[in-house]
Amino acid sequence: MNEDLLKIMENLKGYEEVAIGRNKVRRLLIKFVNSEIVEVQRLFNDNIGIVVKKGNKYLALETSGDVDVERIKRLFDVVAESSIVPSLSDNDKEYKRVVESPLKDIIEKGDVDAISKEIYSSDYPASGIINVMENTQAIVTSKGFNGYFVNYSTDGYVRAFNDDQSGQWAFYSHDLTPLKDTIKQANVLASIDGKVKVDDGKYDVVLSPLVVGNLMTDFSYFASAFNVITASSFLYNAKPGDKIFSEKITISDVPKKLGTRDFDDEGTFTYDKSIIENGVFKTLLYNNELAKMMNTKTTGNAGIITPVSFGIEVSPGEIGFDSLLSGNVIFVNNNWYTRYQNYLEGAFSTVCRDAVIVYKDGKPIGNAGRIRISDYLPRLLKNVEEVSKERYSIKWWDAPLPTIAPYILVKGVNITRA
Amino acid sequence: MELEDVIKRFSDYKYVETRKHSITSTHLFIINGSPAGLADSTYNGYSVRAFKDSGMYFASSSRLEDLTPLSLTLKEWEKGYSADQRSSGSYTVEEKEANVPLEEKQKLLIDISKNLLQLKVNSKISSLIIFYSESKEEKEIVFEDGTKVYGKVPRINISVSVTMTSDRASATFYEEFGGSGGFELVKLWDIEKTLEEKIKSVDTVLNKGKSVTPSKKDVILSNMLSGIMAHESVGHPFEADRVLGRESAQAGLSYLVGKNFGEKIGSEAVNVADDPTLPNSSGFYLIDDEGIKARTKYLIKEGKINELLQDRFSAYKFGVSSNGSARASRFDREPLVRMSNTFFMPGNYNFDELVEDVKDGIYLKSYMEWNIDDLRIGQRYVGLEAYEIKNGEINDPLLFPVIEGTTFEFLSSIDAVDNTLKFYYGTCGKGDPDQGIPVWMGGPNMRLRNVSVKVRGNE
Repeated sequence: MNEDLLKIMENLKGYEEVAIGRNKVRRLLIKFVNSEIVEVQRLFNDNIGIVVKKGNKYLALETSGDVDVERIKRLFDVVAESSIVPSLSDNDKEYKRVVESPLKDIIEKGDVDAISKEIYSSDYPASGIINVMENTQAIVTSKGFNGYFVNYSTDGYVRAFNDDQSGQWAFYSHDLTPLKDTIKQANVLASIDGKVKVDDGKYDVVLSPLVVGNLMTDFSYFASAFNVITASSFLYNAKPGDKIFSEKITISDVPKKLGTRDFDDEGTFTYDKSIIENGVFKTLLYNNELAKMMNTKTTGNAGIITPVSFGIEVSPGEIGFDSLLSGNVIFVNNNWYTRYQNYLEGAFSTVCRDAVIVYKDGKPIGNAGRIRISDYLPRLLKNVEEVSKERYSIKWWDAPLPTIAPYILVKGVNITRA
Repeated sequence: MELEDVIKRFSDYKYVETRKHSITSTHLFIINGSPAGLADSTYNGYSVRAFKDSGMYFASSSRLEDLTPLSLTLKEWEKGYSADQRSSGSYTVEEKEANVPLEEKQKLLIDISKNLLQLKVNSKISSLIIFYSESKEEKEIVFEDGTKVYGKVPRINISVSVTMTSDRASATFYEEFGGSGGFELVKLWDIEKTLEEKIKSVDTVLNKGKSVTPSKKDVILSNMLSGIMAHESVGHPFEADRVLGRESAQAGLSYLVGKNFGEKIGSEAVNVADDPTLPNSSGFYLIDDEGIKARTKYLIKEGKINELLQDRFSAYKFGVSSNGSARASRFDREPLVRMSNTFFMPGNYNFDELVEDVKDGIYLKSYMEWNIDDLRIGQRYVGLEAYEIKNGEINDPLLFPVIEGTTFEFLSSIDAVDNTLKFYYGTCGKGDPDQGIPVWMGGPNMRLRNVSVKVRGNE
C-alpha cells in the first residue's frame, strides 16, 4: 500500500522524521445560473505533500507534479532553526478504508443528467453549484504509519430568485438525496414577500444553519491552538472547565461522524470531541507540537504547524424551529462577507442576505433586506437562548467547513444597516 | 503529448482553449522574531475549456492524458462568444534581483521583526507574524485557431499581522506589500519604516483615541481607503459576468443591473480605471487568458458608468468586444472576468487643501474591517488609524470610528480628490472553486461630504 510514497521515503534518508502525504481529488462540478447550466467541470488534482525534519529545522513541500528530491535537500540546507517544529505521531499501524459509493460512478462517467434534471425543476430561477467528489488521503511516516482512506461526498447550494427576493439553502452529504429538498427550501424562502425597515439596534435573531455554518467555520479557526498562541483568537485565555458560552451550546469537531478524515497529517487517528460542551470550554484543536508546547495531547487535528477542524457539529436543542419564530425575532436565512475587526476580541460584522424575515408576534411581516450583524462572536455564543432540534448538514461557498447545524436563537444581537 | 493534441480531441467544439500553467512558490514564516519554517509548493498542470451550443466544459489535471471530451446536452446558459481578434505573443516581468540567497531574505525579515518588537510603545505588541512569499507564474495558452500566448510573472508578497493591546483596548491588523518583479521590490517598500509608523500610530489610538460622536460628518479617505473602495465598490460590480448573474449564487449580483451606460452614479470628481499594464504591479499582464490584448479600462468617467470588465463570453451577451479581462488563478481554474489594478484616478488638489476646508470631520488613514452586501451597495469601514479634523486641522486620534453607507451615497459625496496615487496589494477572491488572484488597488486621498459616522457597536 502506498508503494509510490514509500519509494519517495527511500530517497529521503538522513532526516529524523519524514512524512509523505497524498491528497488526490476527483471532482465533478456543475455550475448553474437561472436554472440553466453554465458549465460542467471535471477537476483532477493529485498533490504530494512532504515534511522533513532534523533537530529544530523542518521543510514542508507540496507539489502537483514529480517530487524533486534534490530540491528538498537544497532547500533544507538553507532552513533556519524554527521556533515551532512538526512532530510525527508514534503510530506504526497500517490502516486502509475505502468507502463504497454510487457517487464514484457519477464522477467517472461525468454523469450530470440526474443533477441537471433537478435543477431544471426549480419553480423560481435558481443559481448555484453542485460538487461530487472522490477524496483520497494517504500518508506514510518515518514512524511506520501507512494510511490510506478514500471517501466520497457531495455538496451544493441553491439560490432561488423571485424578482428582488431570494432564498438560499445548501447541503453536505454522502449521496444526492438532499438535492431535491435543498432546491425546495431555497424556493420556499424566496417566496416570502413584503419589505420592512429595520433600524440600528439590538434584536433577537434566529440564525439559520447556513449562518451557523459560516460562523462555525470561523469558530474552528479560533479553536486552533496555533491562533491562540499567536494572539489571534478570543479563546486565548480559556481554560478547560471555564463556562464561556450559553449552556445551550455544544460544539464538536466530528471528522468521524461526517466521514471527512480518518487520520491527520501527523499520522494520528482522528476522533470526535467536544470543543464546547453545554457552554463549557473543553479543548482547543491540537497537533503534536502545539500540544507539547501547551502541556497537553494532540486531538488528531494536524495540520502541519496549524491544527484544523475536519468538520463541526453543533448539538441539537429540544424545541422545534417554528417555536423559535414565535415571538419578535429576525430570521436570517444566509450571510456572507464575515470580517473581523479584532481576532483577539472576536469583533466582527457580517452581511445578511436572502430571506431576512422580521417576525412580529410569531407572524412574518416582511424582509429586512441586507442588514448587518455587527457584534462579537463570543458574546453572540453567550447569548444563545435556544437551539432547534432540527439540524442540517451543510457546506457552501461562504461556509466551506462541513457543519451539522441547527437553527439558533440569539438574544440582543447588534444590528446595523447602511 | 502537447496542448495541440488536446485541441484535436475537442475538434467538434467551436471554441477551445488549452493551458499549461505552473506556479512555484516559496514561503517563509517569522513569528515574533523567530523563524517558524519554510514551505515550498509547485502547482503545475493543464486545462482545457471548450464551448459549443450544447454546453461549456472545463477539465483540468496534472496529466494531459486526462483532458478528454465529455458528451453534454444541456440547457446552456452561455449563448456564444465575441469573435474578437486574438493576439499571439508573450510577456514577462524581469527580476532585477533574482539571486538573493534565501538566508539573506530570512535574516532581513527576522531583523525587521525584532526591531519592531523592540519599539518603545505604551501598548504591548502581543504578536507579530511575517509571512513572506515569492512565486513564479508561467502560462502557455494555445487556442483552436493556433494562437499562442506565453506569460511569465514573478511576484513577491509580504503580509504582516500584528496584535497590540493596551489597558483600554486592543487591535489586530494586517499590512500587505506586493508586486511583480524580484527582491528589489522589498527594498522599495521600506517595510520596517512603514510598520514602525503604523505601530506607533495604532499605539496612540489605543491609548489616547477618543470616542467619536455619531453624526453626519465630512470624511477624508486615505489612499488606502480609496483603494479598497475602488476595488470593492466599483471594480467588482463592474465585472460584466457578475452583472449578467454568473456569480449570483456566490458573491451576488451588481447594483448595475438595470442601469445604463452614461448613467451618473457619482460626482464629477469620480474617475475609476482598471489597468493590467502597470509595470511591476501585482495584477500585471499584457494578453489575457482568452488571447485578447490587455488595455486600460475606464470604468467610471466623471461619475458616469463608462465601461465594464469583459471577457469574450460576457461581451457576446452585451454585444461589445472583450476588453481583455479574463484571468485564471491556477491550472485547475477556469478563466473569469477579473480585476487587475483598480484605482480612483487622482485630481488636482493637494492633501492640505482637502483638509483645510473641513470644519468637523474625520480622517480615516487605515481600516481594520471592511465588508459590503452582495449587490455592492451597503458597505462598512471600521477605522484603525483615524483622526478628528477640526476647523481645517487634523487633531486627536479617534478610537475605531465606523462609516456605514451606500456606494451611491459615498460616490456622490466625493467633492475633491488630491493629486497623489498610491497602490496597495490585495488578493482578490471570486468564483467557485475559489480563485484568489493578486491585484493592486489604489487611489488618491478623497474628501467625502456629509457622511454617516457611527460608533462601533456597543463597545
